[in-house]
Amino acid sequence: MRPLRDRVSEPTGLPSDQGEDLDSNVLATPHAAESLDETRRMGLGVILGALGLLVLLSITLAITIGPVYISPVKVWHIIASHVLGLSPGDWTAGQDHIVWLIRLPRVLLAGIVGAGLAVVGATMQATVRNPLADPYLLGTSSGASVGAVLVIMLGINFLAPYSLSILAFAGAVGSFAIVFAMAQTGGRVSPTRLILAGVATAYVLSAITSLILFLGDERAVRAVLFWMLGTLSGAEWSYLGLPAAALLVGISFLVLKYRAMNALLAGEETAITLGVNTQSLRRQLLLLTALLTGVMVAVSGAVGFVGLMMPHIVRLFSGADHRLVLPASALAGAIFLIWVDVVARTIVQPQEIPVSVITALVGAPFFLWLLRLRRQAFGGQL
Amino acid sequence: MHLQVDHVSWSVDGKPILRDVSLAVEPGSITGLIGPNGSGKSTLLRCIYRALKPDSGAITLDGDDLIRMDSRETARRVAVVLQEYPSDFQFTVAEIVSMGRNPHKGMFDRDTSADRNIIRDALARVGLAGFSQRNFNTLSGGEKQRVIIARALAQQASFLVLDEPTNHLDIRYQLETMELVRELGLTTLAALHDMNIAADYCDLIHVMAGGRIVASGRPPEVLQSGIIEEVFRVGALVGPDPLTGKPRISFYLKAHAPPEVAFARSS
Repeated sequence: MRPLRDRVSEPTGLPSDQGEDLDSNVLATPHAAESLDETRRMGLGVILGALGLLVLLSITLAITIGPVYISPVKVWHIIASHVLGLSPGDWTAGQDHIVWLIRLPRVLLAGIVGAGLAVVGATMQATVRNPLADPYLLGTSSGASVGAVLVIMLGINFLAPYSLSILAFAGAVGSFAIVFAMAQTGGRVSPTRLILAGVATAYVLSAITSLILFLGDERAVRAVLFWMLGTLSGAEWSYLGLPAAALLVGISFLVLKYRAMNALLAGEETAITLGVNTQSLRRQLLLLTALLTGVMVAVSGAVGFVGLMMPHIVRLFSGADHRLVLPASALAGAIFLIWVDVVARTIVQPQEIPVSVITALVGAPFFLWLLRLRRQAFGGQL
Repeated sequence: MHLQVDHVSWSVDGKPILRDVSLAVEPGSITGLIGPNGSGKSTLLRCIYRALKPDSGAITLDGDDLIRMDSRETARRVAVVLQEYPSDFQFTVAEIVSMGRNPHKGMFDRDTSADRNIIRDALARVGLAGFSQRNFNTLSGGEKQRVIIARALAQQASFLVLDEPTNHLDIRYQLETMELVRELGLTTLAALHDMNIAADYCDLIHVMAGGRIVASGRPPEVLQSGIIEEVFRVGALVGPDPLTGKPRISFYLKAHAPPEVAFARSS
């Protein structure tokens, strides 16, 4: 009798499928596992370094492109002369003006907004544990639109020249406050209630925007529509400071929280058992994302797609670990929006196309192509 | 690690789910919780791993108040294996297991080689050495369960809570999982839906019904047909297992009792 019983308990601790046995034996030595760990950690630096170089390259090339071509070397000469306070070289005052006052601030703003929205998207997807979450989930874009519409249609202009930005920011943060209050029950915020409250609030705010548009002056409607689809035209140095600071503070905070965010993605109760105060973490993340989105929306309008899709594109290559996903999404989002803006301002010169039109027309097919390419991702079969 | 639950009650919308529950888990033992669906097993466990706060009563771990303990401190002392997997997002096995280091890590701490050794040892201990870079979502149910147990090991807690650890697993994975839990030698509290598994692996069993503990004792004392019939409202035949001598239970619906039952019960 005993031997059978012993045999029952014996195989514990061994991989169970024969197929897996082969697989695991190849890698079973601690040495192999160690070197895999090493490769992965090196991978983090290599990926972020490569993306960082691509950001620099994109900034340079994007500045060269426009109605007037300016060579990359001249671009950096001009930038260096301003940064280091050197005397002007062999370029015209017009070229200096185009690079330093028009294209550079615009390209930087595109990079900052793209990075900010992508990071917010990644954070939001972890916060509500839903792959469809985006920066505007909490009604922030529809709230911002109400603010913008009030400025453009009703001529509320007491804070000129920043009325539009300030009221858009107020609308974004105000809608977040409403959504958050509605989603809360007994001091707790559940992801599903948050999503539903966000969607319902967005409908109400969109209806208000539509109503003001419908009753208002037809000529202003075009301006509103343009703003609602996102635009980086009119970027100036003075627009950059606040979004850049918000982005740096936001990313630093989030990257420091990467372990807790990973745990949150693994499951609500799992995160609790791993020592994460999920309610307080969720509150911090929501407030941070609302403020970041508000700042970005205020300077660029509601740019779509970047926040929803960039984190997914990054995860296809990097996996779900936030230590990599957050900074990589930021860099990828910056590169993406820089190039989208180049297309937006050059494709039908001298007209500008709203940014969201390009992000969707270029980005969505690219994402669909990736989706077909990576068949095992998002619950697909190998 | 000694867990003491004293007079714990919890209710939702005025409906009591736990009524004055008291129990103790002795150091080094495996204690089982059995009971029908809705009897309060999972709720009691959720109170112990801090997903719920009891309305009244006390829970202590080696004399320390668990309910008011810092959540990271709790996670350093209590590890939990739940049936909750990340499905829409792709984590590697190593990333899942490294989450167990979270309660040991401050915001500014980096992963050290000590952490990586702990993660590797945890995977080796559950028989998944070399799986660290595999995609968690592509693993079988039994492998996933062992990854979650490895994560619990990486927490380096001395108290282990398991909520229906053998649910949805093939019989071989069920036995392997429980054998692994026994080998770990941690103080363990497990909600189990399979009474035969409970009979094989538990030192002590508490039976829950209607939010109360209605019977407690060693498996042969608790797993008796009268208790099972009353609590689970099914007929039960209990006899010694031919291999181990431990209680072995067969179940039937009373309205459909096979004729052999009458014979077996009378003998």
